[in-house]
Amino acid sequence: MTQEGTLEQAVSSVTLVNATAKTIDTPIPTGERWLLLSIKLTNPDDVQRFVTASIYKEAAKTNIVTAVQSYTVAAAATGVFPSTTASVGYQGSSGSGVLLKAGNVLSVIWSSGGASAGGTDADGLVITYLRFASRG
Amino acid sequence: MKESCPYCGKMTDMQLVEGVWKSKTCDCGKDLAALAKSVPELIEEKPDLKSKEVLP
Repeated sequence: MTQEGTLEQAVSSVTLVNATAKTIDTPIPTGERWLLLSIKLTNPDDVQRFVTASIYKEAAKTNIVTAVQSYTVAAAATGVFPSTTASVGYQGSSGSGVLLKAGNVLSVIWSSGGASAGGTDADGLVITYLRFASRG
Repeated sequence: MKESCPYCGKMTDMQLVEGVWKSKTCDCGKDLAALAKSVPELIEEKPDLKSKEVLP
């Protein structure tokens, strides 16, 4: 068991293929509470992709608690949460840290972008958070 | 960590390899790790997050 308040950086590879949406889900484990600090995501494709990052209340992904990111990320560009900066290389939204409880699911979706070569990025999704023990 | 399979559409588990979550074979039998190797890797076009060094 990690120590209370441990800083974690979950790195995930992302592979996008021709005209197909991509979803990566991160469930918050039992007994834990996360303070979401940042999300870095990349669009490794050669066409733009509309990307959303939402927090669902439960594993069945029926109820959305909140959406923390929602924008179009240009080909080979990077999006960062939280950020109010929007430029060629960076595209972001305003926001702040978000508390997640056990059972929540952080779901990042790259929408289908049309005909493309596809692409992969070794660290296309990085979620930074503080891990706490769940109480109450 | 789970990812959607582009072949069957279902969410499938990813595997933690040396600190990085990576694709593996989906329950439908498709090797998503092989798929990742079949598409271009974002290297050259990747946004440079480092500040540019400017000589005086």
